[in-house]
Amino acid sequence: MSLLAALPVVGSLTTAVLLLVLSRWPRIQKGLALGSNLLLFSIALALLVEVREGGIQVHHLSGWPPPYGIILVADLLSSTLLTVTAGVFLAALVYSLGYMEKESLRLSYLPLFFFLMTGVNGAFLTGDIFNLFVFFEVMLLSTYGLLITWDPKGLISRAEKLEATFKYLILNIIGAAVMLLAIGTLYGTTGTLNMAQLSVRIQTLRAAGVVHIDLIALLFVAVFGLKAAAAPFHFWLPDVYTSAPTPVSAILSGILNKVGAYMMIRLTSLLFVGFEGVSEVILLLGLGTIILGGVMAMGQSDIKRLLAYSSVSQMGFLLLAIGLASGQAIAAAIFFLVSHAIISSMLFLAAGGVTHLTRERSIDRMGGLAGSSPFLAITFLIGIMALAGIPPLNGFISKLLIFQAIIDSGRLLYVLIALIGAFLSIVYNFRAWLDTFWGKTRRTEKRSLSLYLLLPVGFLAAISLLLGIFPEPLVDLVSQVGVQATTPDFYVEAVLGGVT
Amino acid sequence: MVSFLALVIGILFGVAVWAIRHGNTLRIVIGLSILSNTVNLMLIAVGFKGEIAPIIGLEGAPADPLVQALILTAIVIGFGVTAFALVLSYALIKEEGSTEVDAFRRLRG
Repeated sequence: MSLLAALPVVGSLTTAVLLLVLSRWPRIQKGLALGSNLLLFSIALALLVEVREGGIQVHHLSGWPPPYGIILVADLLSSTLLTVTAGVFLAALVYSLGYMEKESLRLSYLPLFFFLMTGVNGAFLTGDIFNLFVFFEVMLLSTYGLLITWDPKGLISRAEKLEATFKYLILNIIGAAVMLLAIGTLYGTTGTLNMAQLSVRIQTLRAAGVVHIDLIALLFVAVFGLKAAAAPFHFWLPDVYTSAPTPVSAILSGILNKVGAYMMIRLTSLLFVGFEGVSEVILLLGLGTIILGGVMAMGQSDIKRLLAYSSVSQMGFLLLAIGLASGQAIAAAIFFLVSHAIISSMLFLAAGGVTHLTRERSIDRMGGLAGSSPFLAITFLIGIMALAGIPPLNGFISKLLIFQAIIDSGRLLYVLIALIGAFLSIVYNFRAWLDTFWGKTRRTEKRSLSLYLLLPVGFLAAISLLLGIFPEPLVDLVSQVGVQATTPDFYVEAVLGGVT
Repeated sequence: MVSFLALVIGILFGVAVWAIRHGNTLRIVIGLSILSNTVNLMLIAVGFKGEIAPIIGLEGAPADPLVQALILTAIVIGFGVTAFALVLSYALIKEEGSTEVDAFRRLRG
């Protein structure tokens, strides 16, 4: 029993409710939001330290022990992701305070922001597969609300927002139905919803020759693939990212599609261990995603849409590492996940700064911004160099680890395809930077960005640079995470403690 | 009883798919609502081990109470999402001046 494991969920839920109550006093509301996000960040860090020293932390909700009660489990993987989540949310929150319109910030944005955080934290922590479904829905419902929040700069029309949200909504309702179907079938087959117990029973049943478990696993892959925007399910992503308010796009690409990837890791290394067919499907999805995202990103001229496709392509690398499912590959996947969360949210925030300055979304009609806003030019350059995998940035180390993992698994054709994807990412990323910041100056309007907009970008860029120059602590951490995540016995032992 | 449930689930699923495939915004929302209820019925079928109400101490096999708790949760979530979907489609129809999804083509790929 550990109360610390429940705090990220309880804390953000309480904050969300308080923010609703405090909507008449905007100053207090803003202060509370910032304060509790900082607090949640320190809680997540404390949890990470606690898990690293004292092993996996389990919280029994209302004191009911597993396998009957619902539990929250914080292992190294969850607590690492919780820390990243709190960090990216903090940056996005500061940015929103300067970016969003006052009225919508006060009435709906801030409460929904913390409801979203509740959903994400819950999805990372829960040890019960039906509870995961509930947290997914919490997350999605708050996302819908955040997506249609009015963008103050008027760059995105109302119709565009509604259309993108409608698309996203329909896909996710179907996704929820499929997920519920998969959970129902899994429960009917194994008679439990507890993830640790599921892990044990699925192995037993599979050894006994139950065939349809593979199909259930594939249903889950489809659902989480939709969340992670893997290749055949990626088509909602560019529309949604482009029409969302900038800080929300940053969270979507930084955190929300990582939730899908996180569940993929749980699928291959906890629930369905040793299902080669499933891993192979994830690998193929990853390859398709890399190439498709890369090729589509080449042809984009809208700056946010280009970043959105680049985010699709990068998710492919992540899926590739997850599909390999070895301890080393999962460690590489987590390094990649952490660094991509930081880089992509930073890039979206910086792109928001660019559109704020130029009142323009198409990179063809931009140019020469490096002279008027060197800060944005440098941070954006750090971001794209990291995405393209150029040393000395964290993106380089994450790609290196993934390539090492693929080469060690002996799939040379996959290495080749991934290399093509990496090459494409260099081309489209630098095209975005050159068109925006270099060349002839198109616009000469004198605008400046407030500190609210610059601070988060600088913060994330600095972390990205630091992790690139001093990667050892994170590499140590992720190799521990990799070992712990790919050994289901640790998880099962911590949750059930001998009961099966 | 279970085969009857299977038949109903099959028919409802067909209706849902037909409604979603139709290009009308409201029909899509209705179809999705039917779809989520079809899955709920499927969950009932999973827990349908006997016709006795689930109280400990009765003779014979009772129905599984856990599944019914799951369905309650799923119904509540489905209700919330459907309400939001209706409001959203109303706004969308008013904005675009059409109820057909083929008319919404600002965003592609």
